[in-house]
Amino acid sequence: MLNQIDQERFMWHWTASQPSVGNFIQALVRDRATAEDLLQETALVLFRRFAEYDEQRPFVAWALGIARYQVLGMRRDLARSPLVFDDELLEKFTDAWAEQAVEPSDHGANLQTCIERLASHARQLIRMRYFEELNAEQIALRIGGNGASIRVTLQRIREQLRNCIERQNQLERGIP
Amino acid sequence: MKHPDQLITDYLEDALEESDQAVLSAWLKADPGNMRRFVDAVRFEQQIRSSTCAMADAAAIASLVATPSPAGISPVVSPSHDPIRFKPATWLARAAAWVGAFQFIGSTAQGAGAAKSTTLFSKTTIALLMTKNTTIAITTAVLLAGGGAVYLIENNRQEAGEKAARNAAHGSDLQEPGNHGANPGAGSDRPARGPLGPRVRQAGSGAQQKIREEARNAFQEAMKGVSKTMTEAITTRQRARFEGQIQKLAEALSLTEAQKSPLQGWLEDQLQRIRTLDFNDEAATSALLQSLTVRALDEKLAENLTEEQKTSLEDFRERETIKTINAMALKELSRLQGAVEFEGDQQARVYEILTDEAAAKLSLQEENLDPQMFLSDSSDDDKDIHGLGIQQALIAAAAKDPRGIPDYRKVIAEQIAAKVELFRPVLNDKQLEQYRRDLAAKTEESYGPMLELMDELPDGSGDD
Repeated sequence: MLNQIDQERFMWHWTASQPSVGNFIQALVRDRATAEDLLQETALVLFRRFAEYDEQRPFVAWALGIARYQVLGMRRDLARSPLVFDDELLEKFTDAWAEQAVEPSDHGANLQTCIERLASHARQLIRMRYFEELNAEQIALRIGGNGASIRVTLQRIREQLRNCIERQNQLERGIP
Repeated sequence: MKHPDQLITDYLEDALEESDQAVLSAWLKADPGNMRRFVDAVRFEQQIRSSTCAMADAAAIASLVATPSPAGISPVVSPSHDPIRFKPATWLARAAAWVGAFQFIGSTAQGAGAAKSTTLFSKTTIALLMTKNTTIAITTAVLLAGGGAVYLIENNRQEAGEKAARNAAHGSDLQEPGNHGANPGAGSDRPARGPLGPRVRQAGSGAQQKIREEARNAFQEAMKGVSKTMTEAITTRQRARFEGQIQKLAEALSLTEAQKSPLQGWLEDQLQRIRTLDFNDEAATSALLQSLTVRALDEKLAENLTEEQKTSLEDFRERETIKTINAMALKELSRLQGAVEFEGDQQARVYEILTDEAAAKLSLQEENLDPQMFLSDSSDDDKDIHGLGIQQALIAAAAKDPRGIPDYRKVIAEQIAAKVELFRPVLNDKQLEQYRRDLAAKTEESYGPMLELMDELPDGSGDD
């Protein structure tokens, strides 16, 4: 059992890393309830093994490594994921995720502004896809067209958002 | 063969065909840059999802806060991005709604003069009923009592509606006998509704009076049950709280049995005082609160301590205080982290602010003892679920104008604004706005039912 100081240190690290670890698991295990269970299990394992954590390394990288094993342990569920991650792929994915997780995000803050600036049709699509959680086929049923064309449109909207964020970032950095 | 961007899009859209899985896997393994591109796309998609959900929730909540919602319309909230928020309404919300109803009944009945001294709850009792740690048994009792309260609300509303209809028909300002000055203007523009509406509508004024009497009796009977349950819960909690304290002290100071024994005797005395306390007696409640503190326990203990143990006691309390402050600050940090993505050294600076705030809050708690302490296991229990002091602010607002219904939405908005301002030195405008929206969403979840009920109630703040 960790002493009081270590418990606080753990809470400090976990508080900072939880969103990233949660998103990592969600990216691999698309089923939300399963992903949440895995996140909780990961938190427990991290807490139990916190004594092994090397302070020289980023906590998030260590946490992602543990989360990866938790995901591996869920092979059955993972098999239902749209992409089958073998050990090698999962390792590479975890490393890349850890790399990006420790870098400060440069588009989080401006994303809402950019979504607000989208044309109303695009905003409606984004809302249906991410808020109402409809897939492309369901959206097509509602507004017409077909799934493939909706997927293309959604991809264009994502690109539009990326460009908008990039412009915002440049403006904030004073680059004309 | 599909372009890798198309494969990633298909993956994100859960539309990756089986034959394409191997292609995507091979492409991802071929180059670390490919994997980075893939991870970036996945992360970006997650950010769009959470931003979209946050915006949709905030918009729905903002519209609810800005304008009272019509009956029966619930806030539109996203179905899945934050499952914790979509559990069935918590008992706290239900209890808060009923407490709101009780306040209304008390003030309305008093205003009407129909039943003198029917302010049913003191602010102490309201505070206790709104405590997070209240037991399910209390909730059940409150809900039972609430049945009586609703009976009265509907009755009052129906009467007011009929009165308004009569006034409109006769163009007169006649008052109904036996209800002088009751709820002037109350619900006059609302059609009478609810399960009791038809029954009351068919009844004459004598029958109405009878129904009202029956309801009041049923309500008061139910309240006796609430009071009993509340006393039992408080006694149990306080026993657990102080026995835990005594155990900790015994270990930290190596107390002898002779030193521990007076503490047990002291605790039994305090528990006996709880059993005989009338929680609507503010003075008696306050006196009991003063004597049920850790400080009071320490004073009792100090009578039998050696000088060395007294020093150890001071050290022990100092460590406990630091632990409590850190725990409070970390809990708050965790909440904030869920709403705002920190950049650079913001986390450390926010933590500093939270530590200062926790220390100030703790010190204030020691000076102004809160009746909710009765239902806490320890001083660092989470009595303030959003760290906003809303419950206390609502109670204070209600106490300021005991005959009216305070503008609860305004009180909540002010508490949120004050909390957000705390972090202005560290967070940028966007982060502050995110935090404000998050707090608005969370408070709506907890207090929404009460606020909706309040919107439904006729204004009881009129003149006699």
